[in-house]
Amino acid sequence: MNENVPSVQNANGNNARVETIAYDNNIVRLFAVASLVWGLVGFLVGILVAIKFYLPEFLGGIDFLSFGRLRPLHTNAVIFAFAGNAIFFGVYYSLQRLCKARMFSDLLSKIHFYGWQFIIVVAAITLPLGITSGKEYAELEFPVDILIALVWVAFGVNMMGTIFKRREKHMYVAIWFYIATFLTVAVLHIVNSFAIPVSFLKSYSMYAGVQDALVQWWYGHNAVAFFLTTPFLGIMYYFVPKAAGRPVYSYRLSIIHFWALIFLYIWAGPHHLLYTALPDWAQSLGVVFSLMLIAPSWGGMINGLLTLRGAWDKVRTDPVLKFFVVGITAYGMSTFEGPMMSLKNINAVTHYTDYIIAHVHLGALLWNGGLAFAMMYYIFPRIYKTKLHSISLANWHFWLMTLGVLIYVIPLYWGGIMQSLMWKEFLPDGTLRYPNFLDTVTQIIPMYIMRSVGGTVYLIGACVGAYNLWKTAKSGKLVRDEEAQVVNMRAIEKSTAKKEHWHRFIEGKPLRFSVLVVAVVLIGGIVEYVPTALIKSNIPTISTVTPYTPLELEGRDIYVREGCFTCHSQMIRPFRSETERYGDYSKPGEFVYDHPFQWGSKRTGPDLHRVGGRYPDAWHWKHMFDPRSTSPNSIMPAYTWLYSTDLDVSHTEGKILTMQKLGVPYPDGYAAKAVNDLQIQSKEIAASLAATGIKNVDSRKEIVSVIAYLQRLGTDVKKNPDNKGKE
Amino acid sequence: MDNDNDQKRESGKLMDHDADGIKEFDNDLPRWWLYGFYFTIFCSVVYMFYYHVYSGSDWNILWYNSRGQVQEYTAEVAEANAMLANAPKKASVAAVLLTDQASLEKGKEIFNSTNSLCFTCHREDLGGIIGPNLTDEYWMHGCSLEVIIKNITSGFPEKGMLPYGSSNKLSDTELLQVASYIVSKKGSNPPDPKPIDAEREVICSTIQPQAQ
Repeated sequence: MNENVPSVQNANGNNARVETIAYDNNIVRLFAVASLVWGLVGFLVGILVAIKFYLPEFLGGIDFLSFGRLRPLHTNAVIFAFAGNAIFFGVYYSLQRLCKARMFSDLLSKIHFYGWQFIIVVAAITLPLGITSGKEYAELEFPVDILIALVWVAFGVNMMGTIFKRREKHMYVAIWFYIATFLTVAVLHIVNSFAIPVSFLKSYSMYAGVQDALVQWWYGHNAVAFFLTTPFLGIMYYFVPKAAGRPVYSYRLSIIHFWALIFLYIWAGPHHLLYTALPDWAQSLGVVFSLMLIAPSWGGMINGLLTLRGAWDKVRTDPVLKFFVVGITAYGMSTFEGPMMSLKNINAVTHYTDYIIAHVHLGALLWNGGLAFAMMYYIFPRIYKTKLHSISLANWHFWLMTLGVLIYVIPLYWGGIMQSLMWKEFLPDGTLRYPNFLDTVTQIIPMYIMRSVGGTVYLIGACVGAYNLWKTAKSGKLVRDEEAQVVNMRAIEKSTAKKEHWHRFIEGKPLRFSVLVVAVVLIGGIVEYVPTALIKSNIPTISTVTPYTPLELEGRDIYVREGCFTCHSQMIRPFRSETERYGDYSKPGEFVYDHPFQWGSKRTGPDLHRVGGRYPDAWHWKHMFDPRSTSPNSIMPAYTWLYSTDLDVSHTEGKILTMQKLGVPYPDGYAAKAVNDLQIQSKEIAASLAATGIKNVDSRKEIVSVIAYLQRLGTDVKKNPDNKGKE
Repeated sequence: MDNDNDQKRESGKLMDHDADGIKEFDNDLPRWWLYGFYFTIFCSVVYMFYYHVYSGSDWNILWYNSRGQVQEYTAEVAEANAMLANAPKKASVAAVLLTDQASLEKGKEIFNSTNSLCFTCHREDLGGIIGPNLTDEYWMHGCSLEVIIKNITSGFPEKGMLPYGSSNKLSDTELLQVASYIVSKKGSNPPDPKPIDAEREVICSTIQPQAQ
């Protein structure tokens, strides 16, 4: 392109051309603005759902604004829209400069950007409508999953293409993390999303029960690892030394911690399933690999923080470095806390509680959020060729962010532990100190209030940041294509005779590097999944466990649709405090027909695995219409729309057929009779309600199916094997 | 930038490459970090060995005695049962019908409290909705004060009624107050009561006294 080519000589005496290339700043700007806007939306939705914890009728009575539907919207918005777009603008900015090359294809950049935003919009519509697969952090239904895969591949091809045409011989450590991110997320997303469709917007997970849980948390945990950790570490490796003007602390530490991190992380998923029906050996693997993760995680923190040696004075004045330092510190805290919570005796206390919520918000709001804002403050003045509008406002943002998170997490850590200890407390006579679950909820309402205050402070900070960045952009002019003079180092570094670090060999070959990454990350998943799926003794079958009736199946789908699993677990752990409260602990064989599994991960309300038969139908009828009529002070929202909406039975037959394809043993030809059976069972429930004085129940309403499902839960094991099928 | 000074201070050298101007030191791994890493690997190997390979006697150090969560649960239950077997038995409450206004007011308060939850299933006027009508002649288990006290304390968990209604215990006095309140409402004829369950409810006087 450049006609006037000066020559430079390198050490070997070769001549190399100086080229003028142009970095694409426009795509960086687009992703950065998207990250900021979606971030504000995600935080706001978070505050709305947080308020529902103490004002359960806030925005109540409207199905698409209920907690169970908004909560997945909040998590998806913050993870995939806010943090996701932050990853992309960080990668697009740093990768071009690290490769001394413009992005491989401007078209792919555009497809990636608009495709990703389209997915977010689709998610923002489908999740409130209750279109969900019921798997946490992978709620989007299969057509969206396919779209995600395609857009993700567009991103990957664009990135790998850029790496292949780089003008540097070696790939800098940031790029290793980017490659690991792209490849592993692709594998995780595709494997976890395997499902058989019933209709365009409804599918059933290929996996059932224990296997589904294992795959889901292999995915879920590694979404944290490879979506919220590795790309941000890559970002740290680029922006921290750039902003501080200091060399990276240790090259060899980056090698060790990179490979150790990606190898160990993938095994750690089962720590989300400790004391569940997952086989013991798989749980133990989750424990030990989580424990070993401390060092590789801290390796990243050390390399980030020690890079600042000799530049700590700048941290005092430069907002970019402030955000980075707090972010990296939060990363260090979260990655110490995580392994500790993976020890079974600590997990026994923290699991299902708000402690986990505090833990993830420390990570998401300070580590991911802190780094995202740090990058924005770094990039905006540069791509707009101007100065930051106001350092003072950036400092305000910094303190509002940091204090907001503290106000958020400290009460929740406290409340989580307190509630858990209340769940476990016994009286000397051997009965529970707090047998009524609600008594443990009302105790932590003040903490819930504090949490929403903290979140609001954080959002105010983010708004200050958005204003500051907007003013910064206004004061300059976007350099859409930033020209740079570069020398193609690959052309001149060919014949270096010097003995190099062994790892330089891998760094120079993106393809070889990628193959190694895939091999390293696949090992853990295969070792844990294959025996769980193939060896029968891992999931002993129970002869009395039979498939759901059509009505129960439809009720289950409504349970999934309403996001009941966001507040209710279906997994009784083998502790006396739980078997006293909920009934016998859950067995792996009880979930073999659960596509998807609904074990849940949080108990805002009590466990429901053995709720079947515990209350009369009339109790459920009254309870879900007005939870506070049966359970005063309950914070559960009312589900009034279930009482006015007819159950859609148009897919019932298809659902049975799909279940048969998944191996659920309905008799041949049963699908044709399913709707008839469904109607008979509905009428039975209406009759049972009428007998208790609740007359004129329309048996076609959705609530009837939900009652049927709840009354079935956890009852199969109590049946006498000799009377199988009679019930 | 004072790279010369830096190089002297660092144990490793400054690598001879850069990426977009970013240089890298090649410092040694911090010792505490490296040994910490070795330590977690060591612990992990011991953990897996102890729980999944080793079958000798329990070590009793740091770890729980039991191998596996089901054994852990069995041990926990056995321990609790042993403790409870030795606990002194509580004498049953002497059934004395209270009729003074203050006691009945207190009983009403308990009946309608969010602590005991009686009203959520039997209604504030005792006419019944989820649970049966408590004001008529038709009962399932008997209507004497003794039986009512016993049924409150043990509940009918399989029918949805927890002990004490909500599992929150009442003192003996409170128990007498709420049971007496229930007895006092007999014949109060609340409007639109829960229908009589002909299969399970019969006229109270015909119910055989239950063995205590």
